[in-house]
Parts: sequence; C-alpha cells; structure tokens
Amino acid sequence: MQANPAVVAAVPLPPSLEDSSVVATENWAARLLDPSVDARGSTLAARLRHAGLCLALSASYGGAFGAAGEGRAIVGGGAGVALAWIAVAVLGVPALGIVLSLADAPIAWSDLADATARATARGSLVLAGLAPTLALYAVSVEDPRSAAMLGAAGLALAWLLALVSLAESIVRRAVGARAVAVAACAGFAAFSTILVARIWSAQLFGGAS
Amino acid sequence: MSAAASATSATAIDRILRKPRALASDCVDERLEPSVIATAIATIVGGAALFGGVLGALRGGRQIAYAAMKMPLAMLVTLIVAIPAFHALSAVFGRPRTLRVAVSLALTAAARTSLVLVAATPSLWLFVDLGAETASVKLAATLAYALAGLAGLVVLLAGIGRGPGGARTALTFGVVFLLAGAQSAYALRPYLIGRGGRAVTFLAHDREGGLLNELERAASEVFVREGARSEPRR
Repeated sequence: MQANPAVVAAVPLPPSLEDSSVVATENWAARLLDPSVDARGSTLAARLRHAGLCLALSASYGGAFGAAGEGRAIVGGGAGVALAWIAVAVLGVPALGIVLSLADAPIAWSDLADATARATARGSLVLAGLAPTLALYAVSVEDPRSAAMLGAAGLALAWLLALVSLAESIVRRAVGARAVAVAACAGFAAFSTILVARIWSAQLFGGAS
Repeated sequence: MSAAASATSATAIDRILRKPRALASDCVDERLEPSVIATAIATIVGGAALFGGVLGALRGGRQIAYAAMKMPLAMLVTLIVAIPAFHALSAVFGRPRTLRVAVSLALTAAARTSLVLVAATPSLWLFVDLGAETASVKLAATLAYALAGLAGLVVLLAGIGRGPGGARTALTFGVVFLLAGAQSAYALRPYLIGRGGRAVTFLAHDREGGLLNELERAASEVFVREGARSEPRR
C-alpha cells in the first residue's frame, strides 16, 4: 500500500529533524548559556551564582589537566584555568566598556555584563564537556605531551567560542557604531588572548610566555 | 527471559536497525521507552563482546575472554567520556539537548554500531579460521569497525538535526568522540595478538605514551625522512 503524498506532506516532521529553535528543552546548559531566561538572572546574587558555576566548570577542565599528577596539580590546574576568566573579566572587560562608552556606542554596562556572562558560560561549558576526555588522556598516557596537546586544543576552542560570543553580542547591539565596536572588539581580543595565553602557559604548562 | 520480554527486545532491535531517524526523534522528544534503552545496553555489551571474542580467537585461550571483556568496556568508557562533550557542544552551538537526550542518543547509536559489529563477526571469524595473517585481520576488523561507526553516526546526526549549528556540533563532537574512542581502545589494548605472538596479558604493560604521541612520532618519522631526502637536492 502506498502512502498518500498529501497526507505525508501534512504530517509534521519530528522536532528533532527541524530547526532546533522550535525545540523547547528544559535544559540547564541552555539556561547557563542565557541567564536572562531566568527572571532572577539580573540580581547580583544570581550573577555571582552564575559566575561561580562557570568558574567551577572551567576548573573541572584544569583539574583534568592535572589529573596525572598529585592532588596539588589538580587543584593548581583548576585554579589556573579559572584565573584566566577572572583576569579577563577584571582587566579586559572594563577597558572594553570604557572604549565603547567613549565612542558613545549604545551598549549599557549591564549589557556588557550580560554578554560577558554568556561568553564565559559558553567557554566554561565547552571546557567542562571536554574535561572527561582530557582526564582519560591525562591518566592513561605516560608521555604528558599528548595530554598537553589535547589540553591546549580544548582551551583554544573554548576561548575562541567565548570570544566570538562576546564580539557577536557587542557588535549586534552597537547600532550606529559598528565600526568602533568591531575595532574595540579586535583590540580586546588581541589583549585578552595574550593575557589568557600567558596565564594558562604559566599555570598549566609550567612556562612563561 | 520471558517470551514477552524477548519479543520486546526483538522489536527494539528491529527499530534500532530499521528506523534510526524515528528513534533519534523519540530520543530528542524524550519518548524513548525504557525497554529500548535496556535492549541498547544489552546489545552494546553483547555485540562488542562477541566481536572482541572473535578478535581474541586469533591467539586463542585466555585472549578470547580478555578481548571479549575489553571491547565492550572500551565502548562504554568512550560513551561515558564523550556524552558530556555532546551535551556541552550541542548547547554551545545552539542545538540544546538535555543530558537525558544525550545519553539515550549515544546509547542507541552505540547499540546500532554493536549490531553491525555482530553482523561482521561471522565473516571475521571465518577469516581468522582460514588462517589469515594478523595484519589482514587487523585491516578487516578496522573496516568492520568503520562501517559499524557509520551506522551509529546516522542516529547521532539525526538526533543533532538540521539547521544552524548542526554541522558544527556534528563535526566537533565527531573529533572528540574519535579522540576518546581511540584513546580508550588504545589504553585497553591488546585485543589482537598474532598466533604464537607475545604472551597473553589483560593489558599491555609497555605503554608508549598514548595515541596522539604515536601519531606525532609517526608523523615526525615521515617528515624527518622526507626532509632528509630533499636536503641533498638543495
């Protein structure tokens, strides 16, 4: 028996096979990536809780990095990865906000804080997702270079995704000042990439760049 | 196992094989019956054990049991390690899936992989029984594994779905899955020991430094050799 084409056309595709934007998933990862979904997301306590969760997720990757060593290496690795996010938020983001304000870009400080929170969440979630794979390498190989190579690749991916997320948010909002926003984001990207590379290099790879 | 339970398992296996896209959409919509999950786990363990046992048959004796134990273990370790990455990457690239969805998708995909391994097992056994060389068995097993992996990939890709971010999720997760799978398999080797080869042990003791290190060493050997060859020309 052949199916009636008209009936087949009328049957909707399963949500999984269509654009995922129609899939309403109760998903903590999605909430982490967009804290504004939560009505309480803008309170200071909620912001601090969100930042703490992101730092803990990032620290899990650093912990996996040091999994081949002693307890101190695990703690040191975790702190090292988290430290880079803190350094960028404290040293880089305020400078970016000042440059954008000087250019009178229509971006409020709260928008910048939201964009930073989303970008940090993005990078942290990627790091947490990759942490078990890195831990597998760290504990099952004798030569630490393999785990270091993989660890560096994961950090680079997470950093890149976070940076793209932040730049996208800012440039999208900077109506009428796009060129300034792009230039400011480029400068911020250069500064913060060097900063995190320096921190991660010193904390995780035992070197100083 | 009761007749009803057997029938349920048979139906679940049939769905895993015939309707990967429908199964993926059931996973995403969190409508997958527990019986399918239970069957998927049993299939992963049983199928991979069978395949591993045949690989171990090349050497025979204890190696059959060791390889039969280690093959499902490697597959389960890979799933445990890769599922968080799937959850994170799909959310980051705009295809959010709950952890429950990620687990059910990964289990059904791995079950489909295992069923293809089961299908390849008789041919591989015949190959071993006919006295094939270790290298040939290795290649045949790799081919079977690659085909099985493709069968499982269909479920995962359907679960990720079309639309923005789908390709990026599939690509990055594919890389992570390959790295995790290769290293967990590498850490639990050997599966295949040639006739009259090394002594049978559960795990290889001479760890050379991991899969990436092996690849790096192989690449440096190739490039150093190429460099040495091109030097006199200058």
